[in-house]
Amino acid sequence: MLKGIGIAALILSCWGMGMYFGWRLKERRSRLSAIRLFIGELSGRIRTGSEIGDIISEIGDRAGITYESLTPSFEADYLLKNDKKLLSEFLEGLGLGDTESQCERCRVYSDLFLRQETSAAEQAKEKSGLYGKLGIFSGLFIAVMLV
Amino acid sequence: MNDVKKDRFSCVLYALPERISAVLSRLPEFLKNETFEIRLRRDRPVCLTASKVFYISSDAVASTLMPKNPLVISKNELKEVILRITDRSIYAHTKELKKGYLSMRKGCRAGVCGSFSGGGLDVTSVNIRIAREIKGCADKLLPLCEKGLLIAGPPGSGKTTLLRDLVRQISDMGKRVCLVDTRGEICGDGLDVGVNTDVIVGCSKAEGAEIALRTMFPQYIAFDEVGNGRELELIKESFFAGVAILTTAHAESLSDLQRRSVIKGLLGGAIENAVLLERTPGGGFLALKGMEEGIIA
Repeated sequence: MLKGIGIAALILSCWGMGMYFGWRLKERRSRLSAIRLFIGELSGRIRTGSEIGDIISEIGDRAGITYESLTPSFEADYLLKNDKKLLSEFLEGLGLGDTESQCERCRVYSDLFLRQETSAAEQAKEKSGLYGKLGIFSGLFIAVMLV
Repeated sequence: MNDVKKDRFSCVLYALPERISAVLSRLPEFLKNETFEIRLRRDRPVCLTASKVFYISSDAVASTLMPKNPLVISKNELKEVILRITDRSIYAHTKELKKGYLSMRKGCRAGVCGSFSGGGLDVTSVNIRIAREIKGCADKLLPLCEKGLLIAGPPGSGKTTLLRDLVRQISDMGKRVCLVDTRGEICGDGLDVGVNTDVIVGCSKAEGAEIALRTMFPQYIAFDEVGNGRELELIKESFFAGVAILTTAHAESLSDLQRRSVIKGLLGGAIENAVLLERTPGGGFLALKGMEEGIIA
């Protein structure tokens, strides 16, 4: 009886881990989507002459971006190394040019993030189910090995 | 006179990199109170302008001679100054930057030298002017204002300080004053320009004076640094509309003032009175009323 409960718990926890990794892929996609929307709105606000600090304090939290002592920074959850690098590059040069160059920069980075987002969506579609199944199978495998 | 200059120095320290502001905040109080300019030049020592020019050393000692260990500001620190003043939003201040200045908090102003192209900024020097507020400094000028007044003097002589106090006093007497403050340095936050003063900020003096004249029905129009022909035309127009003009102009001496055609065109016509601020041997300034000598302030 106890053995059966243990096996079920093992399989469930492995399936849970698989589902968690699948969910992380979906979260990455939604975080990239939020960043892209943020850049779009940022570009519009830059055109109206709002300052970076004000813009980020108003809409930055939607994309997990904060602004302290002249430095925009971000929460890195769920993002991959490439995403983080891209976002760091974008935030580093933020505000350091005239309106046209800043808006153009926003457009370029918005395109780059769209590319990342598309690839994240594809990955999430392909791999999230797979991770769940892998979790179940690895749970079963461990259970068989233990029994 | 009530000199409200305490904390004027510290209110510009936000613009400086931490290393520089930490040294400047350790300077003696009397020097901080007398300083009206902080000059920052790339790879050169930081200097303060008070009655004399003081060079600052890394251990917070001010000297009129170059110290052995001067406090030198680097290229990156100078760029940081600009980022701090603009709150990292250079694009929002491009108009000002192209004219060579940046408005700062509390009516202070930074003059900026260097090059600015769309994508980048290369700063060579920044001059931070600390706005002063001396309530009552224009007491003796009040009787001269009714038919317009020109305050002339060399840079740093206190023209803007006098104009601000004049506007405040006239406004508090119940007169309608319209203040055209192109760079936001007369009416900066925390500076008192009176209860009946309408302030137009951020447009040219000519545009502002025109708006004031057409829409605000003022008794006085005040603006800093009269310059070009269009302003002259508006001043003449306002004279015919019965509005008195209060303004300032750069002039080193009486002869300098008399040489300038714009000013010659004003005096005795649209502006009846003028005072010239001249340097005294003690380092202060006195005013010459209507071009005839006599201490006013």
